[in-house]
Amino acid sequence: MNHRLFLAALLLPLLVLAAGIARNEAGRRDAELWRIPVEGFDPRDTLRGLYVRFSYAFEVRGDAASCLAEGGCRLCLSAEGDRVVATVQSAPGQCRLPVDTLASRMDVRPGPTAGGIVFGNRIFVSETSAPRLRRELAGGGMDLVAELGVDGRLVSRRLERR
Amino acid sequence: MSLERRLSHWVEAGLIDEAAMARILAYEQRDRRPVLLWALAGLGLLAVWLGMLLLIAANWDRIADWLKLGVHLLLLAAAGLVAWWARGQERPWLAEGALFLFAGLAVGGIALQAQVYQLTGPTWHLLLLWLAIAGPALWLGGATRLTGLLLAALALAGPALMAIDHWDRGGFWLLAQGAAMAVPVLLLLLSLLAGPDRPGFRLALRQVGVFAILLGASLVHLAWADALPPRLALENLVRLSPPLLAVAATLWLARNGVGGLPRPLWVALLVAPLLAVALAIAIPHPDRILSRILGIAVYGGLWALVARGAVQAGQNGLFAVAVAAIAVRIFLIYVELFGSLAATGGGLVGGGLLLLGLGWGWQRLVAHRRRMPAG
Repeated sequence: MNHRLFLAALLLPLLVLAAGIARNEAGRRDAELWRIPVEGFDPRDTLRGLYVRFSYAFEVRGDAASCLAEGGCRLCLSAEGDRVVATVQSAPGQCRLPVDTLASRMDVRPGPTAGGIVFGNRIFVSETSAPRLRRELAGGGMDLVAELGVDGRLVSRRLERR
Repeated sequence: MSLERRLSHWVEAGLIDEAAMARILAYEQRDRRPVLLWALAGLGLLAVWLGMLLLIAANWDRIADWLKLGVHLLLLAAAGLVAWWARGQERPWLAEGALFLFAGLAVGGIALQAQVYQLTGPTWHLLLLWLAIAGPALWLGGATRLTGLLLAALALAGPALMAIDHWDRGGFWLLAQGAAMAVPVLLLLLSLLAGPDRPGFRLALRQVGVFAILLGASLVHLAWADALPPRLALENLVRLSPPLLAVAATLWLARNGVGGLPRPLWVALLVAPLLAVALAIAIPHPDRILSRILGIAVYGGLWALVARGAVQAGQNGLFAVAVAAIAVRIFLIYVELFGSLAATGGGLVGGGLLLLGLGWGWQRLVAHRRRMPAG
């Protein structure tokens, strides 16, 4: 019995990790692809490797200060020419697929301008590409390619030159 | 002095002959634990483990995500299979090594998925998930100190970070914080349940549990140096309900003869620490000299009980730790010089008398034991 229980315990991490892969892949299947301009810098995470911290350079409309609350807010993304506009959703159902700032683990904080709010995030990058990305980000003109899942999570996929 | 040198002295003094020395050495060699070997193996496995984490952290973007995830799952399955097979074949070294790597690969898998799917969150999420998925295998398959220490570290780290991260939250979080406070007692409880067939694993859980219980109950007396309003005291009372349940469950097991925790240590390691914590953080008190003196008295009383229990249970190491803990606190009084010279002097005299009393009590107990007939 104990031997079988031990086998079940050994299978547990395999099943949980496999389920994690399946859940994340299922979330990607129906995701929308967005290109959002970003600005950034690059500290490092010793556990999960290098990452780039950036702020979304989209134009924010609506009551952005409400996004500072504990529950976060929802942003409706739209493209206007070359620009991306993020409108703070004031009531449910204003857009088909809103971005959930909490689920997207966005770092929302007051910006340098009066009343301005900055929306930030981070993306894990490889050790080999980190130096190049550092230089390119310092030069500006970078886009984030991100997938917006049906659960409202905006998942950063890669950084590209505009 | 090594056993060989001591035995040689005894032979020279005519206490034992050469044949007896050889028999004693042979007996001791048979039961000797290969500590150095275990330490080297443990360090080697730890290095492999950290190396794997850094290899994952390097984030090889030229390798497809599915390949990285697939290879990781295969390695995890292979480590689990070796641990399971080696356990069945009664090859404890191989089983322990494979299980240790298996646990390392489990956290590596969580980190890899975070990297591939850009998942972020507080570190305690990762640690709690690691405990949830690797903890059962460590508990069921662990046999030595190596896996025992890993399980104990996992059990302490995640809940502790979670509690610290949400300390200012009320409601459900009070019970979650209480559950984190109960982990040291739960480690002691698990050590009772671990069974005598894996003494190293059991000892690791018990030692870490006792260390964390006494460290926590000692540090908490610093709360006496600050005012505690009724609202915070009430919140702390709620936080203490999980540790109270854990202590009750552990005492119940011990009373029913499970795990062989010596009876004289029940009060010293379970009841007294809980009481010391409750007095310090669950009863409102002002920031006054009297509160501080009371805090030191509770600290001294706790360690005096530990010293008494250790002597009665024949655990000389724990007794030495208790005396050292009291001595350290007495000299800290001299350094902090709280209140007035009179209060500091009174505290030092009281502490010194407590130490003298402990020494006298110990000497009496030792003499009493010598007078008792053997068996």
